[in-house]
Amino acid sequence: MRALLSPCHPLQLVLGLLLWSLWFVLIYGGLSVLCAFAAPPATQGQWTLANLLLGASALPLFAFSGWLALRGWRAASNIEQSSARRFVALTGAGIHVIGMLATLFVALPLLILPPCV
Amino acid sequence: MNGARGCRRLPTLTAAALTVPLLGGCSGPLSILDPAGPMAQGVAWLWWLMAIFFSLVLLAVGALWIHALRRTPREVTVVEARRIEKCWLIGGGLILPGVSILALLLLGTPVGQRMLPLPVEGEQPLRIDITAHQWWWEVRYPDSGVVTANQLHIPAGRPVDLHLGSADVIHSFWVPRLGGKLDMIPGRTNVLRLQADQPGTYRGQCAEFCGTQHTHMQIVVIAHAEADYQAWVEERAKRRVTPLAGAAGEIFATHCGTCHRVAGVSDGARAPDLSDIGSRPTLGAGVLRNEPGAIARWLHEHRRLKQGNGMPAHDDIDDNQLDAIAEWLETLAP
Amino acid sequence: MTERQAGATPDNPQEDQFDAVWGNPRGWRALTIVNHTTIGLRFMITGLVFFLIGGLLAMLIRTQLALPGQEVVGPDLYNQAFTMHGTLMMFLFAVPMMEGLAVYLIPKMIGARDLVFPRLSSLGYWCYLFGGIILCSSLFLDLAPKAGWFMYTPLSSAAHTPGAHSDFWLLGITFVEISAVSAGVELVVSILRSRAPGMALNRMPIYGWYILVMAMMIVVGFPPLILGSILLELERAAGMPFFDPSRGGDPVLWQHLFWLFGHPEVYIIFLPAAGIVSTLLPVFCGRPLVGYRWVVLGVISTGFISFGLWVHHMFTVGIPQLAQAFFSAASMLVAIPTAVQVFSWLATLWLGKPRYSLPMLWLVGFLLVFVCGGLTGVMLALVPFDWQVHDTHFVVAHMHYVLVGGMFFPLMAGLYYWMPHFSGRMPSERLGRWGFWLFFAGFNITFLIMHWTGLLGMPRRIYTYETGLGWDLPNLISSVGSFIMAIGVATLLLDFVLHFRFGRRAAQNPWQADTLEWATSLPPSPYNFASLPRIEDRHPLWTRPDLPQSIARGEHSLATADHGRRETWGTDALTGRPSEIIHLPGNSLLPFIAALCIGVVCISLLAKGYWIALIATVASIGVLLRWSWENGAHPAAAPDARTQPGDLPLHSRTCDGPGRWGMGVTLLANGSLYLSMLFGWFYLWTVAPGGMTGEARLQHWPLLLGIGLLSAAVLWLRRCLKRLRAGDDAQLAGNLTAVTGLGLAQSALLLWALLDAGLAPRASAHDALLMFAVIYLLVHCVLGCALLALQSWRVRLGLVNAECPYEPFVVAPLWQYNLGVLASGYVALLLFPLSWSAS
Repeated sequence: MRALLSPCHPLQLVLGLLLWSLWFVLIYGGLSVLCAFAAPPATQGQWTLANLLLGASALPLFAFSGWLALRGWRAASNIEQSSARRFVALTGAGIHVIGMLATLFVALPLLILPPCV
Repeated sequence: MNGARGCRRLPTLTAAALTVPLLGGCSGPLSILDPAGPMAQGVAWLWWLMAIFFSLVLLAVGALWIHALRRTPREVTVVEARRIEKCWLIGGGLILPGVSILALLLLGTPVGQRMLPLPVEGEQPLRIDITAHQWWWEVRYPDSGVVTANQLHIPAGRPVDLHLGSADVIHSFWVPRLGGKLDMIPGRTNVLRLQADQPGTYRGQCAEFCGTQHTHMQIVVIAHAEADYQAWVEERAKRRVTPLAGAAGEIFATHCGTCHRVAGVSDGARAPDLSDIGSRPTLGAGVLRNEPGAIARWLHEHRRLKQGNGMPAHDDIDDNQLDAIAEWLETLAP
Repeated sequence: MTERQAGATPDNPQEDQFDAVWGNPRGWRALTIVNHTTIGLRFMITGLVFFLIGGLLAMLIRTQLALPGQEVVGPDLYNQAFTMHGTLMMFLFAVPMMEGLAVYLIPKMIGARDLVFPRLSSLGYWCYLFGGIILCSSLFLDLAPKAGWFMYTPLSSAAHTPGAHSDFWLLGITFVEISAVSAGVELVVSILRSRAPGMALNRMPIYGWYILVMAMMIVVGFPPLILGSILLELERAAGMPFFDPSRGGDPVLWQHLFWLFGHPEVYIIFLPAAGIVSTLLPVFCGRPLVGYRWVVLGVISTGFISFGLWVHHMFTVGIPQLAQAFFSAASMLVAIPTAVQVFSWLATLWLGKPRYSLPMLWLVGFLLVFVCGGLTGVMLALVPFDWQVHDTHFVVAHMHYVLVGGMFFPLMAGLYYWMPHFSGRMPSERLGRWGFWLFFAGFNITFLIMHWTGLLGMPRRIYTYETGLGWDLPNLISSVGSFIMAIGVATLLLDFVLHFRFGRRAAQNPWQADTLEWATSLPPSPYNFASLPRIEDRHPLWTRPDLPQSIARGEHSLATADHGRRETWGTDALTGRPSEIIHLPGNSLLPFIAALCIGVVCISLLAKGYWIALIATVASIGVLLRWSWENGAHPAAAPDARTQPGDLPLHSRTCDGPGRWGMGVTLLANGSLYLSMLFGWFYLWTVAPGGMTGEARLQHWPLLLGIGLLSAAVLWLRRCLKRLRAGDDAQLAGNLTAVTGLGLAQSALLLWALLDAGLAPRASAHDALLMFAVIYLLVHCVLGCALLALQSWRVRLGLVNAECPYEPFVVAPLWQYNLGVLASGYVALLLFPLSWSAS
């Protein structure tokens, strides 16, 4: 189990975007449920509690991915590791960074659009 | 370098293929590039912007690629090579698409937002209910109780909200010169906001494949000046047709009237309302132009003209009676 | 690891031994061949035949549309033609072709002798062939599917498309997908577990990464469609109203399930093609690919992001605009990893010394066409623009640019490049160039102008149009172009055929490539390599150009075959360190028989002969179980299980082999199906317009008790395996039987709960989906019991013991999976509705 969480485990090659996918499902599903139950009036524009909640959900993911990326990058600079493990660590870090950027980009429309129209 | 010779032919080919349609111009009864309302206008602008920018990108990438193929590279050191690699990957792979899509998203999303049926202040948009059937459009004006089919009369210069539904399969309402399309899904009601800036006639077409006669599921939108529109609604709302007399009238009541409604004559609800059939631009949702004699032709040959349509064959009705009915229907024009 | 040094020379008996063990039989016995080289070629040739049929249909479409008001075909035939054109090209050409190429190449590139589940390759091929034939036969019966290749319901439902039209699609495609998923599973496990010694992940050829991601995407992406097809077929045949809004269903659910598969599908087709580009360009530039790691990052991100785009096919459905915007953003995002690859190729060209040759010509064509398609793709990702051009010929043009550009052009480059591999002969230069230019010109004439046709408002899928709309000239140009393209295809075919006769004999490694597939003989022997080399870097043939000779001389590992086993290395997924010798099954008729039985199931369902279908289902399960019986320590799996002292053990004598990984990946596919089903359940509760009606009338206690029983069973099994791993097989059979008993008791409880609930699956979508879910759980629990019961029998027969502990370890993950789905199923199916109704 410990090996599984190591920054050099191949799991890191998918973890970053796996988290992003889960978050994506969460905001898409969350939006559907919010609109089914407590749709804010369309006159309120984009500055609604729904947008705020969904937008806020991006922040922990962003921070966590950032930490994972940093961890991978550090592990990759450890020259005692085998080249294969360093490759995985650095590539994994890259995936985490991509996850971070993807999170920000997908959250962008929350600043522009009202939630349930 | 046999292949490189071929590459030189490319631009010529591309240019040829591009200019031919441009000669034809952007106009056309269903052209997206000939907008007649604010929603369509916004998209047309978006198109031209994107077309120009992306054509430049395509040309640049293609030219770079072909140049890279033909140039004689100088020797580079490992360090230099690494620097060049980074430049390409970061500049072309990250920055170029990153900036492009960011700009596109920030530019395009608000355009879409303006097309939404958001609440408006002051005068409310006119509501019209449209239900799609295989393969015709049922149009109802809830404010005045007017019912018609395969044509849509709207006032020009102000927004209308079309409440779209379907009675059978999924269809899609689309009048390209006025705005985007929206699906008509059984069990749901979607609201599409459209506006025609000027009075005129615009064509629409079902845009989601809906079976055998998807092709012949067209609609004509007629935008009137405000006063004309009011006149049309009033005329149609109070319209009561005098029934056809004699055997033909009998046949109409027993054969046609069970499915078709004619205000004041019959009350069928399964097929298009015929109260103003004489004034409609087309028959069979786009199969025939509604010229004199066209209704008779339709009644005789509709199984062939629009294969698969829901109206039964009329073999059991005497030709003369059928012609009498057709003649009468032609007079139904407000 | 000890390398068995055998001083083999080309003319010594070594080679005869290998031929005896690996050789392909002739005559009717060719049906038993399981070798990846043969299967890969069969896939590709069959794919080509379906491509030609699909192409003929396209010609029919273009003929009909050439002039306004044409009556070459009526609307009914036209609708069948475009539906079948799309279906054939996507399901029977593009995916199988790419899989076939991967099946052919992957073992050779990673230095293995075969894929790890050769019989599965064979089953996949036969399912593909039979499914394809069934689907195409509908064309001749005038019963071809005619609701469009994405089969939107209610149009495809029994009410609006009576007759077997849609059934052919739903059953035929599901049949074909067995093949796609099995190839996906097999490729994933082979790439991860059977690479040459020393080939760590960072030394894997880039094509391996592309195929790994593609195969993973197949494993996760196809099940939603399989689920959707099953549900729609159940609605058509049994009246279960999953998609009927008047009974609590929703037609939009079908669209979600379809595109949840459908968009990844595009990348499943594109990625292997891009892999061809990334493999070929460095060879023709004489330098390594620029930014290997960047490309790997790009490929992985493409794989993930492509699952977040499916709603962009549904922008006109009326989903809230913010939700659309998420998908719009994700759709644009996918441009970045694609751009990274394009610029990595550009940089490779820039820094290398490009050599001009026929494959290179196709690569240039690829880039121009594909980039154009990609750019219009970004346009379409923009929601308001999509509202206008969605379902017009603009989209038709876009997708042909992406699919033909992104798949066909690289495929042709690849076929020309690997032609010496298939035939031992070099491709022609002159005729090949004619073929390219005709195809390239024809393609662009057909489809470039079609963007314009779409902008002028021509919707797709209309069978005719009137004059005066501005569509006449562009359509005529498109039709003329399509005929030029057809002539191009004919020229290419002619070139292929002629080259087998007149092509120049190919030298060893004719393109000076860097990857291992060029170290085989040309054409290759069924075992690829007489000995398996150790790999030290990413470009083995560039650093050690003498590898082909030393491999043939048997100077590397696993160089003997006197034991009669088909062997290859089982290596560590990350480092490529050998951990066991995988012994592969030999030729077998079982896959053919199994596919035949499944084919009978398919045909009898089409003919509504449900009793025959039931019998054939039982027969196919029987054949598959018989197949699983010939594994592990069974003499048919390894006639001689002795190894040299100091050698690594055979995989069936360890606790972790490819089968266990295969089970894991299969469960991933299965889990994807299960999650899609839960998605449908939650979707119908929350978003469907009718709202869910009815309460769960399933009793809680049988499920809770069942979860308890299954947990006990899983723990018990775990303890057994722990002891087995430590070498203690006392009372193993009794323990396994007891665990099976617990599982059976749990299944009985579940069955009782289902019968007791008195569901009305025809009256509401709620009951229908609930019933489907419970049956899903039930089938899995019974399957787990059956497999474990067989294991305990094998223990009694001495086929499983402390010496050969392998197989129970393969079965165990299924039990854990069953517990997982049962517990989460209880929460979703019984607890969630309670909280939903409470709120």
